[in-house]
Amino acid sequence: MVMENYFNKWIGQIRRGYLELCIFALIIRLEKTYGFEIISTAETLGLSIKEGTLYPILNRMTKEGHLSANWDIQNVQGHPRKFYSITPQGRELFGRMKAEFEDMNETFHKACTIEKILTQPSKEEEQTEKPS
Amino acid sequence: MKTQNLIERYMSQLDQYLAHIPATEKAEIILELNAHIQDSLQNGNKDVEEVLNNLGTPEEAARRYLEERGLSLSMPKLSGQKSETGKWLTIAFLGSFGLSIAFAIFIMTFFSPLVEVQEEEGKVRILGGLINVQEDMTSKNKGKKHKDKKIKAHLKFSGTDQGKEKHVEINVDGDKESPNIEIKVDGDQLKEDQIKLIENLKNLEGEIEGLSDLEKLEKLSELEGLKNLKELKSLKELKNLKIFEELRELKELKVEKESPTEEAQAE
Repeated sequence: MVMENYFNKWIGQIRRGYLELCIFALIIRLEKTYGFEIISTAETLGLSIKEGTLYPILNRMTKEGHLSANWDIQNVQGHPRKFYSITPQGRELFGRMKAEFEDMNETFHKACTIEKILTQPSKEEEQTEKPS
Repeated sequence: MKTQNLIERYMSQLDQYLAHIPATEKAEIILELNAHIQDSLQNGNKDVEEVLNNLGTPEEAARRYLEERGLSLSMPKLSGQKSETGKWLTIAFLGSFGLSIAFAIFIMTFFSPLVEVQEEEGKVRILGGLINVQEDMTSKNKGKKHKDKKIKAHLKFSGTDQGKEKHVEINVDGDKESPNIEIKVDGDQLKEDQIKLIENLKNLEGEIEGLSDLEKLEKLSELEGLKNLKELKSLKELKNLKIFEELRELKELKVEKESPTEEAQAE
C-alpha cells in the first residue's frame, strides 16, 4: 500500500512534464490537429492521455502563445473542430524541452549503468588497522 | 435524446464551475468538449456515459482548466444558502471578537497599573488601587534592606579663632538617605550664633560652584585642617552636600593654616 501510494505520487509528478512534451511532439508531427486526433494517435503509440487532462493543457498552451488554435467549420464533416498547430515560439520552446529531456535520459542511463569504482583505503586507515 | 440530455446537463454544470473564466473562452471550452464528445461517439464506439466519464465530473474538468490558469475552483451558485449562513457566522465571530477586545482594553485601562510598588511608602497597589497592601514596617525584610545602607564617619579637627583654640568634631551616623550629622565645637553642640567664619571655606565658595558633590568634598578635603574629610570621600554615596552645607554654616570660625593640629578617628 505504501509502495502503491509512492508510485502513484511519483507517476503524477513525472507524467505531467512528460505529457506536455509528447503533446508538443504530436502536434508538430501532425502539423494541424484537434483534440480527439491527438488522443487517438497517442493511443496507437501506447500513450494514454485523458481527455480531462489534454484539453486544459491545450487551452493553456494556446493562451501562452505556444500553439495557435483555429475553428474549422467548412472543411470538416459533421461539426466544427478546433485545430491546433505549433507557433514559432512553441517550436523553440519544444526544441529546448526536447534537448533537456534527452540529456536527462542520457544521464539517467549512465546512472543505471555506472560501475562502482573501488576507492583505495587512505594511509591513516592502514596505520590504524595494522596494530590490530 | 437521452444522450443529448446527459451532455446538456454536463455542460451546464461545467459552465457553472467555470464561473471565473471569461464568457467567450468558456463558450469555446464547451464547444470544444462538445466536439470531442461527438467525435468519440462517432469514431470511438463508446456510449455517452463512458465518454463523459473520461472527461471526469464537471467539477474535476473545470478544476483542471482553472488550475492551468492558476485559479481555484469557484463553488456553483446552487450553494447560495450555505454562503448566507457562512456570512452570518463570520459577522457573529468578528462581532464577538471585537467586543472581547474592547472589554479587555477597558479592563486593562481601568485596573492599570496591574501592580505598582511604592517602596518609600511601603505600599503595593494592585489592579489600579483595587487592592492596597501596606508593608509592615517592622518586618525583617525592612531591617535587612537598610542594614547595608548604614554609614558612620567621625572626624575631628582643630584651629584657632581669635587666639582661642577651637576643636571641631563632626559625627555622621545612621541611614545613608538621611544621616544624623552632629557638629560640636569645643564639646558643645554647634549653635548658629557661635559659628564663625572659616576663611578657607569662604575662599572656596567661588571655586566650588557647578562642581558635583563629590568634587566639592574633594576640594574641601584639600583644605588643611579638614583632611579628615577624606574619610568621607570614600563613602561615595554619602549625601555629601549635606555635610558641606553644614560646614558652610561654620561661617565665622577661623582655622589657622599654620598650626593645624588634627586628630582623626575613623571607623
